[in-house]
Amino acid sequence: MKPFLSQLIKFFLLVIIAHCLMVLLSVVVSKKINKTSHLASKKTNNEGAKIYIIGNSHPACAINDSLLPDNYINIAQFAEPLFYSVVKARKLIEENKKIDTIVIEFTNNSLSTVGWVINNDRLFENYQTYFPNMNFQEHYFLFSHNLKKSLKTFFSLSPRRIWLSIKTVNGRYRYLVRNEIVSPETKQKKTDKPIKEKVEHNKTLEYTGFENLIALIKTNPKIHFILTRLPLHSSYIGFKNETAYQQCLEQIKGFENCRYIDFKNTSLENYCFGDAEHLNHLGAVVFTPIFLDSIRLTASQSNQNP
Amino acid sequence: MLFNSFEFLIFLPIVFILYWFVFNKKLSWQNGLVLIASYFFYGWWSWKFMGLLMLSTSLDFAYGFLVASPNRKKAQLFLWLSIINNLGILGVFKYYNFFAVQFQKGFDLLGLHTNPVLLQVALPIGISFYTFHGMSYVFDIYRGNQKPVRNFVDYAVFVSFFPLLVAGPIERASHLLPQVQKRRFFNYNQAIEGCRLILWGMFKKVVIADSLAGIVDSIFSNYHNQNGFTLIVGAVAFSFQIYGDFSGYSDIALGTAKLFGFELLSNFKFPYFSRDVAEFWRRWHISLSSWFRDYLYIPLGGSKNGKYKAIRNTFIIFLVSGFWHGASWNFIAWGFIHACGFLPLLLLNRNRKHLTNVVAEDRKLPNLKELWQMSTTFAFVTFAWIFFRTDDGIRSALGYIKQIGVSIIEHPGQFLMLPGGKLAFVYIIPLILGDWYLRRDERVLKISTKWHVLRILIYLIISYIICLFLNGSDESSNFIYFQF
Repeated sequence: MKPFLSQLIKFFLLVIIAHCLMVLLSVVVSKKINKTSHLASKKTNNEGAKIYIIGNSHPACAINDSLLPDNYINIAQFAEPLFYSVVKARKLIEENKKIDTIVIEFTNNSLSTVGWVINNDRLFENYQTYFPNMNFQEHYFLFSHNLKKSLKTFFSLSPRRIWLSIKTVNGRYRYLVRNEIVSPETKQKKTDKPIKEKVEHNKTLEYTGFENLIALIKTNPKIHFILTRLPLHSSYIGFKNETAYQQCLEQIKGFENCRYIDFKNTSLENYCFGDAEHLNHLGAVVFTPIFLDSIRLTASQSNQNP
Repeated sequence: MLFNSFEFLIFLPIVFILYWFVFNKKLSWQNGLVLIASYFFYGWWSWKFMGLLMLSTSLDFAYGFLVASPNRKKAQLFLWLSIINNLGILGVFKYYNFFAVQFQKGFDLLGLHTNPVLLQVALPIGISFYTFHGMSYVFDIYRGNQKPVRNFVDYAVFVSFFPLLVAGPIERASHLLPQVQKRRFFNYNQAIEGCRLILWGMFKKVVIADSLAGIVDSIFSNYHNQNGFTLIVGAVAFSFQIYGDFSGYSDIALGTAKLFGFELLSNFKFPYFSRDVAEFWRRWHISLSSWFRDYLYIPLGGSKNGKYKAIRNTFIIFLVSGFWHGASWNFIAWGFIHACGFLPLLLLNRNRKHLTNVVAEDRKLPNLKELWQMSTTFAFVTFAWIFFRTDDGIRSALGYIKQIGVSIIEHPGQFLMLPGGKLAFVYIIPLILGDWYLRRDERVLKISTKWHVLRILIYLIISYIICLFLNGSDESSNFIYFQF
C-alpha cells in the first residue's frame, strides 16, 4: 500500500508542479513577447491611445468611439464587474507608458456584481481572461470564495490561453439596436432582483472591486482616473444602494488624480435607451459628444489637456 | 456524481483511504462501506430515486430465495413475477410515456381521440443497468447457476457498487458476487493497473468525447443547412464521441473497481477494428450484448432451431437491444439496421469467423483485405449511429441521410468553419493510434518498464492534456449512457 500511495502522491505532485511551471513559463514568455502589441493594433495611428474607457456594458453601449478623437479608445466589456475592470486598468497602465487618463464606469451595480466574479458561470471565462494580470490578493479572493471553480479554471489554463489573454484586451463599443424602454416595469423586475439580493447578502464582498479600485488609484498618482455613472432611464430601479454608493464616492474625494462625473440625469429621449440601463446605437450618437465635452471639461479643470 | 467531476476527485480518495485503512479489518465492514459509499454516490445525483434503487434491490433479493424453491412450478411463478416486477419498474419510468403516445396515435388513426395521462418524471439514472443486474441474479438462481445470497449487504453491493451503478458494465452475479463475498487485500499491481485505466478513460472522455461533442451537436442540430461531406464528418465524429464517452466511462469504472480489489467485466475491446458486424458486437458494450445473448437469445432457441427461428431471434435480440437504449423509434431502427447487418453473416455461417483473434495480430499494420473489412464495418456502424443520435425520431435520421446525398461534393471544407471543426480529426487520431497500439493487450498504457522515465512522461503529458480540456461549464459534462 505504501509504495502505491507514495507513487500516486508523487505523480499528482509532479502533475501539479509541471502545470504550475508551464503556467509560469507561459506568462513570462507571453509578457516578454507581447508587450504593448495589442494597444497599437486597436487604433490606426499605431501609437496607442492615451485615454481608455473601461467598464461593463453601460459604456460599451453608450460611447461610440468612432465619434471620439484618435487618442480615445473604448474597451468596455459586457458583464465585466468592477473587480476585473481594475485588473484591466492595471494591465493597461503596465503596458502603455503614454497612458494619461482612464475612465472607469462606476455605477450603482458596480457594488452589486460580485456574483459575476465568484459565481460558477462567469468565473471560468473571466479568470482565464484576466489571470496573467491579477495580483496575489485577487487570486486569493477567487480561491477563497469559489475554490472548486478556481482550481478547475487554473488547471485548464493552457499556454495558448495565457498567450491570448496577454496579447489581447477584450472589450469594444457595442452597437445596440433594441429599444425596450416601452415597458420598463417588466424589464426592471428582471434586472434588479439579483442586484437587490447581492447587496443584502454580500455587502462586504460587494466592496471588493471598489477597494481594489481605490488601491489602484493610490498606487498610480500620475494617471488620471475619471469615474462615471452613465445615463440611466428614469424607470431604472437599481438605485436601492444609493446611500452605499454615495459613501463610496466620498472616499474618492480625497484623491487628486481622481474625478467623478455623474451622467445619471443627462436628459435623453426614450428612443435613446435600449433598456433602462443601456443606451442603444441612437443614444450612443447623442451621448458620445456630451461625454466627450464633460471629459474635456473635467480634464481642463485638472489642468490637463487630453 | 460524475467520474469527471470535482466531487468525485474528493470522494474517491476518501472512500479509498477509509476502505483500506479503517474498514479493512473485516469483510463485512468493507462491504458496508462500499454500500454506503455507493448510495452516497447515487444520492448525490438525486436522493428521491434512492428509494427506487433500494426497493428494486430488496425485491430481487427476496425473489432470489423464492425462485430457488425446489418446487419448479412455484419457482417459475416467482421468476415471472420477478420479470414483471423489474420490467414494470422499467416500463413505468422509461417506457410508459412512449407506449401511451403510441396508443394515442393508434387510436387517432381509428378516429378515436384519446388524451392519455403522461408522467412528468425524470428517468432515474442507471435504472436500466441496476434492473438488469437484479434480473441476471434471479435468472441465474432459477437456472441453478447461482445460490441465493444470505447477506443482504453483499447482494446490495453487487447491485449498487458505485463504479458500475449508473452506466455498467452490467455484471453477472456469478462473476461479481464471489468477489463481494471474499475478503479483498490490497494488490499493488492491480491498483496501478486501475490508475492507468482511470487515466486513459478520463482522456477518452474529457479530451476526445467532450471535444467532439461540440461539432457533433452543431452538425446534428442543424443538419438541414449542412452539406453532405459535413454530415459525413458529423456522423464519423459521433462514432468516436460515443466510443470515447462510453468506453471512457467503462475504463474509469473498471479502474476504480480495481482500486478496491474488484475485477469487473470488460465492456469494450477495440470495436472499431472489427472486421464484420458480428465481431463488432463481440467488442462493443460486451456486457449488454452477452446479457441479451445469455438471457434472451439462447432461451429463445438461438440459431439452433432452424433458419426461421434464427432470423426471428436475431431480430428480437437487436430490436430489444435498441429499445433498451431508449423509448424511441430511432433506437429501434438502430437495432433493426444492426440486425440486417448481422443476419447475412448468421445465415452464411460466418458470424463466428473472427471469434478470438484481433486484426493484424502478428503484424504492425493490417493488410489491404483487413483494412477494407474494417472500413466497411465502420461505415456500416457509423450509418447506424445516425439513427441513434438524431433527436426527432426516424424522420430526422432519414432527412440527415438524404441530405448527405444531396450535396456531397459541394464545399467539402464547410465543416472546418464549425466550432471545433478544424480540430475534429486531431481528437480522433490519438484514439485510433492508442487503440491500435493496445489492441493485442488490453492492459491499458502498459509501457515496458525499461522506459520508466518515458512512461512517467507519457502519463504526465496525458494528465496535463486532460487538465487543459476541462471545460468551463458549471456542471461536468454528462456521459451519454447515463440517459439509458
